[in-house]
Amino acid sequence: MNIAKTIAKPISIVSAFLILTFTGDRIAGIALEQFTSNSQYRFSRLYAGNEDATLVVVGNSRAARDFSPTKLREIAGGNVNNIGFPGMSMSIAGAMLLDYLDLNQHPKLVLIEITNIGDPGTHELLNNLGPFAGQSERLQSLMERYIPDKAIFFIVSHLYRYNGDMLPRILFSFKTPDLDMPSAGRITPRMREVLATRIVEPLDIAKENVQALLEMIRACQENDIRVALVVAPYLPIHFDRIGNYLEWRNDIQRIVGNDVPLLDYSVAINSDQYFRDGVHLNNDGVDAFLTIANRDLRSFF
Amino acid sequence: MSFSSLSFIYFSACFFPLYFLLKGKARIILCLISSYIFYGWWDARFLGLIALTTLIAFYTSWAMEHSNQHFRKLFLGISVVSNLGILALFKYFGFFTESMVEFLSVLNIEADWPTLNIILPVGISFYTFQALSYTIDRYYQRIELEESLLVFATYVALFPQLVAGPIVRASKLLPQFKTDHPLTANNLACGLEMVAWGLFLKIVLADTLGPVVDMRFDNVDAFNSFHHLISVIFFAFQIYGDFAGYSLIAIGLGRIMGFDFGINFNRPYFSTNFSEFWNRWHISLSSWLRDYLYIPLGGNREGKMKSYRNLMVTMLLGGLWHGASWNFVFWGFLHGLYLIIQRLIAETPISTVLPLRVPVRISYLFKVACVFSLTCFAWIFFRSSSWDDSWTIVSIIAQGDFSITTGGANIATAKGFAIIGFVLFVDAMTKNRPLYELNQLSIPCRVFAMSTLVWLMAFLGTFAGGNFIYFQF
Repeated sequence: MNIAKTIAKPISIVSAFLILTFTGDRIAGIALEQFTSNSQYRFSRLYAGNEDATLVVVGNSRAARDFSPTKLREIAGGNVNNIGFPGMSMSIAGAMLLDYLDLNQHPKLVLIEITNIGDPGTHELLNNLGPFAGQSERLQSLMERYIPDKAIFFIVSHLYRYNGDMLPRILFSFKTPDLDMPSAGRITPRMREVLATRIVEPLDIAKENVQALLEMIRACQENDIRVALVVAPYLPIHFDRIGNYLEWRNDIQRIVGNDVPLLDYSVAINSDQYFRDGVHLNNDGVDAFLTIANRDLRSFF
Repeated sequence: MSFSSLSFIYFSACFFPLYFLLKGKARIILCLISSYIFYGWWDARFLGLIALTTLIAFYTSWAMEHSNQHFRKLFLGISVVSNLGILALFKYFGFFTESMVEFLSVLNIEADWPTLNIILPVGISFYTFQALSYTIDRYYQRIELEESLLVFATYVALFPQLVAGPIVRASKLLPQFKTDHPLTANNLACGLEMVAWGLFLKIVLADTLGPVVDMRFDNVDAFNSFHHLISVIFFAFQIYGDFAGYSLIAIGLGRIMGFDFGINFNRPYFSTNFSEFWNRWHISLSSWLRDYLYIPLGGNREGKMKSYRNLMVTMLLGGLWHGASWNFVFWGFLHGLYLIIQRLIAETPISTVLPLRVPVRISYLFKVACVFSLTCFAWIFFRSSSWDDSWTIVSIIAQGDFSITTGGANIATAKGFAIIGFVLFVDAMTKNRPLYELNQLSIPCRVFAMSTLVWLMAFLGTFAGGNFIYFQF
C-alpha cells in the first residue's frame, strides 16, 4: 500500500506531463495547419486546391528562379503557378506535381526543368516539407523512404513538422502570393576567375528520377495536358566545362520519346551580365531569357 | 557520446536503474565503469591517459601525506609538472613549435622542427584541472586524503562532468561519495528540469544560431557590417547556449544521481562589470584560476601594479587554456585589459569627474550594454579561424555598411533574435533564483513549464547532432 502511494504521485505527474505535452502539440499542430492552409505561399495554395493556372512550372532552383510567373502570365494568357523550389529533386517534383493535378484545375501546359534528374543527394528539401506531410501521401511515402527517422518524428510531433525554413516562408507569403523568386546579383571578375577554373561534375541521370519524370509525363498525357521538358540557360564559361551535355540531353530525349518536346535554352544567353552565378539567371537575365523563349512557349497555347 | 544523441539515451536507460539498485562500493564501481565507457565512446585510445592522470594525482597526494614538508613540495611539483606536461604535450606542442618556427623566421633563422599531428583528447583540460585541484588542496591540507583509489578515480572520471565540465573541486565532490544518495522526487524533478533547460539552450539557442555564425565567420569577405555584427552577437549567445546548456545537463544528471556540482553559469550577459562577468561565466574555471593561479601569484595583496600583472597573467593563461592559438591568448588579453581598466575606473569615481545623476535603471542598462559590447568584441577573436580574419571582421564592421539584403538569411536572423529574446526574458524573470530550481513553483506550473520547453524544442530545435563547442577544449 505504501509503495503504491509512493509511486502514485510521480506517475500521475508524469502522466499529466505526457498528456499536456501531447495535447498541446496536437492543438498547436492544428492551428499551424489552418494557418498554412490559409497562406498564399505556393505550396499552401497547391494543397488548398482550387488553383486555376494555365501554366505550371516545376523543378529545382533553375525552375523556381528563371521562370517568373509574373512575366510568363502574358505568354500563357492566364495564371502561372511555379511550384519549383531550390533543392527540389525530380522525385519530390513528381510527388508535388501529381498532387497538384489531383487537387487543382488542370493547366494547359506543364513545363519540367530537368537539370534535377541527376543524383538527388540527400533529398534535403524533404526535411522542410513537414507542414505538408499530413496532406500528401506521396510526400509521406518519400519521407518514409529517404528520411525515415524524421518521418517518425513528424508523426509523433505535429509541431515538429513546422520546424524548419518553410514556416517563415508560409508566414511571409500569408497575404501575398510568392510568385517570383527575386534574383539579384552579378558575376564579378573574381567570381569569373573561380568559375573559369572550377571543376564541373558531368551531368548524370538517376534511375529513380527517370521513373518520377516518366510518371509526370504519363499523368499529363492521360489528362490531355501538354507537357514539355526545358533546360534553363547556363553561364557560358560554366556550360563549357560540363563536358557531357549533349550526350546527357540526347539520353533524356531518348528516354521520354520524341513526342515530348525538349526545349533546350542551355546556351540561349551568352552574356555574363545576365547571370548571378554559373547556373542561375539574375532578374535582367530572366527578362532576356523569357523574351527569347516567348515564341516557343506561345506555340503551346 | 553527446548528451543530445540517441546513444546517450540508451546509455542512461541502462545506467540509472542500475545506479539506484546498487549501493556502496558496487555503485561507485558502476559509476567508474560507466564513466570510462562514456569517455571511451569518444575515443578509447585516451582511456589510458585519464587513468594516468588519475594515478599521478592520487599517488602523489598519498605520498605527500607520508612525507615531510620538503618532499611534500616535491610530490606536488611532480603532480603539477607531469599533469600539465601531459596537457601541454597534447594541446600545445604543435602551437609552440609553429610559433617558435615563425618567430625564428622573423629573425631570419630557418628552423625545421617536427610538428607531430597529435590528436587532442576530449576533455583533457577539464579532468586535468579537476585532478590538479585535489593535489594542490592536499598540499595545503585544505581537504582530507582520499584513501580509496576507486573513489578518487570515479571523482576524476564521473561522466556527467567529464568532457566539458563543470570543473568540480575535490573538496566539494569527494565528500559526496561518502553516502549513497537515494532517488528522491525532488532530485529527479530538479535534475530533469535542469536537463530540459540545458537541452533547450543547446538545440534551440546554440544550434539554431550556429549555422548563421559559421556561414559568416567562414566567408568573412562575403558579408557586410550588418551581417558580421549579427554573427558576432549570435556567437555570443551560441557559445552561451552551447556551454551553459552542456553544463546544465551535466549538473542536472548529477542532481538526479544525488550529486551537487554547483552552478557554472549565472546569467553572465546581465553583468554590469567584468569582475561580475567572471563571477557568472564558466564559474568553475574562473574560480579555479582565481584560487590556484591568481591568489598564489599574490592576488591584489602586493600593490596595484602587481595585482594588474597577476590579473593579466591569469587571463592570458585562461585564454591559452581554451586553445592553442594566439587568438585565444589575445581574447584572454582583452579580458585582462578590461579588468585592469575597470579597476582603474573604480579607483577614480566617475562622479567626481562627471557629476551626472542618472536613473538607476538607465545606468544599469548602460553598463550591461557596455560589458556585452566589449565581450562581443573579444568573442570575434575567440571564434575567428585566424588572426587575419579577426581583424578583417573588425574592419568590415567599422566600415558601417549596415544595408540589409533580402532573402533567406533574414529569416534565420529573425528566428535567431526571437530565440535570444526568449532566453533573455526567462533569465530576467528568474534572476532572483536559479532558473532551474523550479521547486518553489506549484506542480502544475512546473509541468506546464516542462511541456512548454518540449514544445519549443520540437518547434525550434535543431537536431543535426552538432557537437558542443567546449569539447574542443
